[in-house]
Amino acid sequence: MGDKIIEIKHLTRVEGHGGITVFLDGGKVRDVHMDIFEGGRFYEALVRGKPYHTLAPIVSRVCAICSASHAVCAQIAVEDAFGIEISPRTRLLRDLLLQGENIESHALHLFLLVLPDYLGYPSALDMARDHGHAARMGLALKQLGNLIQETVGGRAVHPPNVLVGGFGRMPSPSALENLVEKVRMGMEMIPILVELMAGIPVPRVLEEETVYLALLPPEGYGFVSRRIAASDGSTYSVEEFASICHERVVSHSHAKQSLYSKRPFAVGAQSRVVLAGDRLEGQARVALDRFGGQQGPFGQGNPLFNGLAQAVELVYSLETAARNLQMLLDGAFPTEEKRPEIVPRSGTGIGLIEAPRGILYHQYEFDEEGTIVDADIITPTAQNLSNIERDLRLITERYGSMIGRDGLLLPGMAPLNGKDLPFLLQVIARAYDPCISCSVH
Amino acid sequence: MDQLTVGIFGLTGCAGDQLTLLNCEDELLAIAGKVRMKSFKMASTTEVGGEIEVAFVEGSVCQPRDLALLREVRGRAHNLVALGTCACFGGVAAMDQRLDPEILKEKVYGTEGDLFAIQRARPLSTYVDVDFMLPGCPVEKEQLLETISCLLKGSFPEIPTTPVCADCRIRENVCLVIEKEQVCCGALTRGGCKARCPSLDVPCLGCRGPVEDAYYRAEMEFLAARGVTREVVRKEMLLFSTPAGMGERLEKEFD
Repeated sequence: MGDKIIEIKHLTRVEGHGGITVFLDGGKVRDVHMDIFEGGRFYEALVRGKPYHTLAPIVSRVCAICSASHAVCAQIAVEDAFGIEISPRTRLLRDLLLQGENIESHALHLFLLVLPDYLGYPSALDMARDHGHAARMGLALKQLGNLIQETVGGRAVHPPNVLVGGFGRMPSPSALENLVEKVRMGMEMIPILVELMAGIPVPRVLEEETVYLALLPPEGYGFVSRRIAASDGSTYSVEEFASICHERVVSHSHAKQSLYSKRPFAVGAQSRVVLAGDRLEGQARVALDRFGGQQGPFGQGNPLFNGLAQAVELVYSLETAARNLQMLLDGAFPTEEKRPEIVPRSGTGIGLIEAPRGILYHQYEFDEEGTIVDADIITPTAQNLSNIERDLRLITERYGSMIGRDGLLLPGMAPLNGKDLPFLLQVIARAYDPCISCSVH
Repeated sequence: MDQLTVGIFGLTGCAGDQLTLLNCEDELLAIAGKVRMKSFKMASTTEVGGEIEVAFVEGSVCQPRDLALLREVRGRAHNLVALGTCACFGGVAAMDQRLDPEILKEKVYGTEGDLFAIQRARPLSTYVDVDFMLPGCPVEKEQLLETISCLLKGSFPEIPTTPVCADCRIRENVCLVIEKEQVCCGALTRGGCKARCPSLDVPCLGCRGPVEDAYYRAEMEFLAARGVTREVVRKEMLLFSTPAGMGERLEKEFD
């Protein structure tokens, strides 16, 4: 395999356990591994033989940060298999839950995991000593995302209230009124958030042609759809996803990796902005334009712009949460309703949603009693891993002469200057917001 | 006084208990000011070796790598806290101890996937002494904060050992088993969660692990009288525990 020159044993400020190894041969990059050594829990095998109603509680445990996405995606798959229609109110509440998760997840990543890189601290807790305002804003947004998830899902992590066909109990009007006020306070932070992010120049360390994949809703920007769009202009149906996102086992990773037409591809906030940014409205659109617009830097293959895409989506999710709450409270839908009758039937169902980190795919086969016969889960981070490795390789090729030396000088700017190559490799991997527990599952 | 030295470690799991610590948004900066964090990989690049007064360990042991880390942490820590149901009782990965993990692995990865070593999912206490268990999937924020406060004063808190049913009674919930004919795990599961799920009309699935002194035989007879078969118990009530927990005891009562 050649000489192992760079070894990052444990990537920090990410969810889960992984590292980076770069193999060099006489100065040339021979191979780059994103080592995923998180233990496997084998969910796809574990759920076999379990009744359908235990599915969401089990698979939400794949990952804490994305637990609402896993729960909702599993229920969509069950409803698809059994032919169950959900009510408009359930649809709106689920969307509200996903907006809450997106706010919590993006705020966690941007403020607690990424910002310390740019401001030069080992953690947000250290960063808070000198940049209390930024740390407190991140925590406040995170808390708001959690409050939305608690109110709708029954808990901030692993929401038990998300059932097949609806909710155990719909949140009361007074609980929703409370959220209206809190979301309004969150929206007051938008201008400061946008200016803070705009004030941190993004290092132009990499510009490589990249294929972006995201779900495209029938209209508008959103997280639930049955149609997938690729930045090469193709679109696909939900049934085609597993085959276009070809998963394979690789020797150095407990997570499988994906290729699209034999090429690495990217999913997540940046992909969503590239493919659907023109559908954003309101302050989210203003934020997008402030950061250079959809046709600006996002589609240029620099993963460090994922942070700005997440900032755009924080604004989008705050505005969408406010709008959903308005609709839920304006009396258009009954506040109480019975869940539809659940009649299991044999067959296959697919759930597809945009989790905070990208496309999440759940496919289950059920027998006539609703017992799970087979399962397939494809997570966003598993899809991103090939692209992360490609980017790490390109960065090493470009800055390989800096190995073992501090004082990296990066083009166009700024905050990461003076660091070494292993530091930059970690910054690149972190930009993807990898969720390693999800990737292995 | 020297600051309390703390380490937060994760074995195989969903990181939900570490996330719950990060979800203490109102208290996090205050906590950071009162302890010296020697390791918290999910949130910090700071890594300091040597002894630790309190190590919080999340997740279950699912591979040799987990076991090596657990033993290293045990060797460094004066107090080891099992954080969350995976660490305390094995969690979802350990739901059915009759399943061969190698077969599970093959189902997911195929035969070409035999690339890494695994072992049957187990809680921490299978391998090392655990000084304090804080169950929950994830742990309840208030109990985590209470634990940290007590540790700062040099003690451990009293965490409820009563079943979820006790929480249901306090909230005056309608009983899902008696009045709604559902399969609910509350009588056998540790409370302290304010009966989150039954309060939403969602049956308890046992995510906080077993009540130590539950009367398993009576519960089994009670469920059997309502037509709940052994198969239902195995499929629906044993999702979060291992032989160390209620799985074995429940199964035994059914034999």
